[in-house]
Amino acid sequence: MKNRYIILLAFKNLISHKMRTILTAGGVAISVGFVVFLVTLGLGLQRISTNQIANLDALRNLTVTSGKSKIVSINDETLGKFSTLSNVVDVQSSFSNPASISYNGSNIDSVVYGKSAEYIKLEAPKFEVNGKYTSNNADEVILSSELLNQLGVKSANSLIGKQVDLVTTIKRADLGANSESKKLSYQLKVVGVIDDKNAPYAYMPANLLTRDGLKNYSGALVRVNDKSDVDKVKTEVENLGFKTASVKETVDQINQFFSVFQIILLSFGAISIIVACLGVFNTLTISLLEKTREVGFMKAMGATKPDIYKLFISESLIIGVLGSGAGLIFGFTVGNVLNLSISGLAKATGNVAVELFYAPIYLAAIIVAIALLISLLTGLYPSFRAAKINPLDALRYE
Amino acid sequence: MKKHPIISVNNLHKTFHVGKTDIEVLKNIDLDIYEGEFVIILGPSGCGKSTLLNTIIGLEAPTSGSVTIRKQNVFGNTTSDQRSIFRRKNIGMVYQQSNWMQSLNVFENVEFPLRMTKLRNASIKKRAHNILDLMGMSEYEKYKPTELSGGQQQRVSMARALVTNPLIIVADEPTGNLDTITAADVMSIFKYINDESHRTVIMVTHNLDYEKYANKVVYMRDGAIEKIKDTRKAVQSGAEGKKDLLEMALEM
Repeated sequence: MKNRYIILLAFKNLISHKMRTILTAGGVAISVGFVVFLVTLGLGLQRISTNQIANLDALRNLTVTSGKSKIVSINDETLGKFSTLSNVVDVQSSFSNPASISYNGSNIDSVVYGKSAEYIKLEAPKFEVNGKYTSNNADEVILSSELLNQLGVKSANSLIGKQVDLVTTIKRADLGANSESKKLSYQLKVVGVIDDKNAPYAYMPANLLTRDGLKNYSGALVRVNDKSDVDKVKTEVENLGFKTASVKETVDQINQFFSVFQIILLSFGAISIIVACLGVFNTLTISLLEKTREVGFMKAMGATKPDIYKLFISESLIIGVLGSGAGLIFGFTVGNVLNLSISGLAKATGNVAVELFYAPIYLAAIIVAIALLISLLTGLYPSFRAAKINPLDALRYE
Repeated sequence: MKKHPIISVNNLHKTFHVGKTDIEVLKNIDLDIYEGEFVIILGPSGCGKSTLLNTIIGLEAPTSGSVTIRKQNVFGNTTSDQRSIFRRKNIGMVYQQSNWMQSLNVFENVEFPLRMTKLRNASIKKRAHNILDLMGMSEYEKYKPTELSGGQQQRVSMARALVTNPLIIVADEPTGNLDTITAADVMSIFKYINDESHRTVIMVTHNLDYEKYANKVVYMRDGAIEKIKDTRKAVQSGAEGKKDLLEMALEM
């Protein structure tokens, strides 16, 4: 028989049992839809998390510290070494130290960071009141909103342009050889407020501290050309004896967590697909029992085993195609409707709109391929049995 | 001039194993059938006549002995698929049960045997239509076969058996489910395709009344041939070169 005729025959067989076909394909559709729902939810959550942690630009940054090592330290010389590594486009130092900050009679113990304007730009913190130093040598400071809170300042804007007093004592080790620890006092003008309600801290130009004797920094930010270079540069820096951390590592860990999460979701989906397969298997087996005489007579009239085999496989595949097609449409539609309503709700309540379900095109292709493969496998056994039917079973019946 | 038989059955034995007992259904059958004969195999139920028919057309493998159709050994080193293809080309079948393909209508059931050939779609449709017309069933083309009466179904069955233009038509109790008037009608069609179209017909029945249609009657009892009555008159030769209605219907 011609393949085209076999497919036509398979369609006619399925149409002549409309209800059964719809129910079986419906089972496949529900399970495929469920899988689409779970997978797009997993991918969506993963994307939201990684987006929250880092915009794509931060993935190019590598944070370097000397760790607990007493041999290596981060100073202008080592910064120079970092900047000569291939694929490194920028190196900025950072220094952190306990500090006491006073304003308007209140006094808070916090942390001061010596960071250049370039460092802050690379770090790209979220500002409550956007601001930057007028120069890297200016007597200026940027505060965190928690620090303002502890200082008792209600409005961030009201503090801009005001002077705060900052006192910090720099340890001997950070001042280079043969120096005693040094207490430094500054009067700094507030130029910006970082939106961070977790910790009180202040950023001031690192140059002010180096001018007053600071030699060894507590860390450096190494920026590479492309995020794919991070791992290579990281190894090179670690070979020099330093410890490193990167946002990319964190993102990798989150991705790892989500791949486990996806596998858990997928195993739920797999269960539903197995149930749907049993449905397809059941339908084909019943159809086989009903058609014993019919198939027998087809063979008596001259149909060959491959003809019968192809006919049953076609029926199985048609159910698979219809079911997984409907399931995809169903799953993607539900995801999109939920996305729209969640985003709408978020906007209405003044939050940032998010896409909870993320469905890349390749996903549809993978799921359809899997569904087809499974319906093919499910169809193998009933088709094999159908092909083996003895024509005499059809004719002997009296 | 001695004509070569179209079907030759030689020393055929068939034994069924049921549990621990062996049942010998066919015992030493020898039978020659010539082109254009109307052969009726007569006998009581269980005498092995259906088994003989199924063996002749290659469905039931014999325990020993051979069947030769048009000089080809049916069971000589052939697979069941090869025998299927052989039947498709040479044999039309009509049974007591019509074994319809339930999802197809009358027309589609009749064209089905041609769907297994390499014929083009247009030729298939033309042939199926013509043969249904010849059987007087063309107005029922769009019906489901099971919506028709028993006699009508058997006419469609005949159309399905004849559509491939086979040389041999086999029939197993084709009138078993029919009343006598309808049965006579169906028998007259068999008579026509034998008389006018010169097709070889082999029919299995237990109805003694049908002897009159045959020109060779094979009496069977307990798996063996009791006697063969040859009522064939002189071989008709006047029909040579003259096209009958069946040939015209199946013409391309």
